Amino acid sequence: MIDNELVCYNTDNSGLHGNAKRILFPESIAEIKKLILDSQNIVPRGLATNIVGGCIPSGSDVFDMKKMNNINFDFKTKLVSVEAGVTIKELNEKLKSIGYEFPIFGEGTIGGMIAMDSPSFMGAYGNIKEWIEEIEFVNGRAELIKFSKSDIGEVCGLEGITGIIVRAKLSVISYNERSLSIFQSGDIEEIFLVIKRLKLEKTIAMMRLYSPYYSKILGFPEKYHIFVGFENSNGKIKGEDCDILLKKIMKDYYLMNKNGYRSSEDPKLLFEKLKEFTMFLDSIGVPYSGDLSLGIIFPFFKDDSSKEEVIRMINRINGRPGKYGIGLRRKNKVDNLQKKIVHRVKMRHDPYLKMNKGKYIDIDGTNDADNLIMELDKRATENENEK
Amino acid sequence: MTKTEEYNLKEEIKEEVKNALRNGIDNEGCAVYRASRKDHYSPRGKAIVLDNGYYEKILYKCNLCKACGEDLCNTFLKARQVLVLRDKEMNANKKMIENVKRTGNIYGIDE
Repeated sequence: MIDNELVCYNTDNSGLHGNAKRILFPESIAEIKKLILDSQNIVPRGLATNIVGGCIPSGSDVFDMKKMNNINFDFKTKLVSVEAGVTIKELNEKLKSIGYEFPIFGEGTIGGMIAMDSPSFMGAYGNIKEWIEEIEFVNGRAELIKFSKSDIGEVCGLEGITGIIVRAKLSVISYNERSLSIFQSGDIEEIFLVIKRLKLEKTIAMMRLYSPYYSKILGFPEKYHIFVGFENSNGKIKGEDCDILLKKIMKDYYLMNKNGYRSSEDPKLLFEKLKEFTMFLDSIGVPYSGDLSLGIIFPFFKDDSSKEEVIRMINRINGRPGKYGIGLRRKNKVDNLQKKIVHRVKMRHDPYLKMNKGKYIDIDGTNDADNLIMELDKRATENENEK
Repeated sequence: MTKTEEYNLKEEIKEEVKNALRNGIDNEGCAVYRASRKDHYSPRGKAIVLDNGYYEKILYKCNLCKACGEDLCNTFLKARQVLVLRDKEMNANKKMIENVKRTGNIYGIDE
């Protein structure tokens, strides 16, 4: 059992608590392979910023990946090879010095962000998946596998249940001096008219909507606000002012937490449904922010009564989890088809069920696992015979 | 410091770390964390140690630079007071106190 100084490895930003058996700090792929063979229950850990319990251990060996922190930039291909423990902030500090940047802005390590398939804070850049050229990962059988862009679905977004991401080759862009503009209105109809027009603009990197109450918490008048981020100097707020404001809205949810709104959802919706959903939230007095480039709205809750009502609405309009992931907390959001697919991929890479147990999908007991392995082996033999 | 004062201090610390954990802590600004690359040296890690009611020497592994936030820094300072009361001091600190008693300066230079 770990000592008192190491209790932080029992938890993550979700506030859930588990129990870690050992804390390991691997520094190389060879070490990871050896440790996987030695261990029966593994939880990979990056910055542990997820809020769904994605790296809560259950009597597990926690693999803290932050010691794997090499960055190599290839000027020929303009691809950066990054080890899993490098944080986005560190990567961008390095890249900025040579005039480049990785536009998936957020809090986390590269490994963690890939495992969660995190979207960028600047929504127009999409999810991290779109920026990966190659992933190297060690699966539950301790095999090092390289995946090219077409196969990264077997790792990316699966929250570490198939293996441990060790390195990734990522595309980067030239460093941009960005600018911001703020649009304010008391009328949601007008806001959506503006958004429709802004969506046609190609230089826009971010469109963030804030409800009147949320705007007030951010220190703005109690009206709807859209923060529009430009890839160039088209915006009115530039330079240091722009950086300060971006930093503030990047950690906006902490301000909501401070005001008692400690729970939120992240439905990703079709653009046509966004207006209906925001109007619904306004009608029941739930504050929200939204990334309109990605189509994600983040309603915030103080209590469970309004949350239940909002979740019912999200289900009705087919909202999918947009940013936070599944982890331990939201396994009910995975539909049966998705469960089957994920299960199949998991069994292919982690037949001994070592990796990140209990996350994303439930797999009961080792007998089930054994049956599945047998079934998969049988299918593989059949396929070979067919060939 | 009396037992009551220590109890009150610990209650204060408990409340403050709970708030800090709820409100979010900037780990990446912490120099100790960036150098060690281990969660338990991070401001958040130390806050979790305190939140669990543990007062350990790891709290000394902090520059008190306020990069993680002024409030949390003050909380760590208070927690160090509790540590001293429990005789959980760093050897270097003990030596400095001895030096001051013996020579009047922290370096132990006897002129």
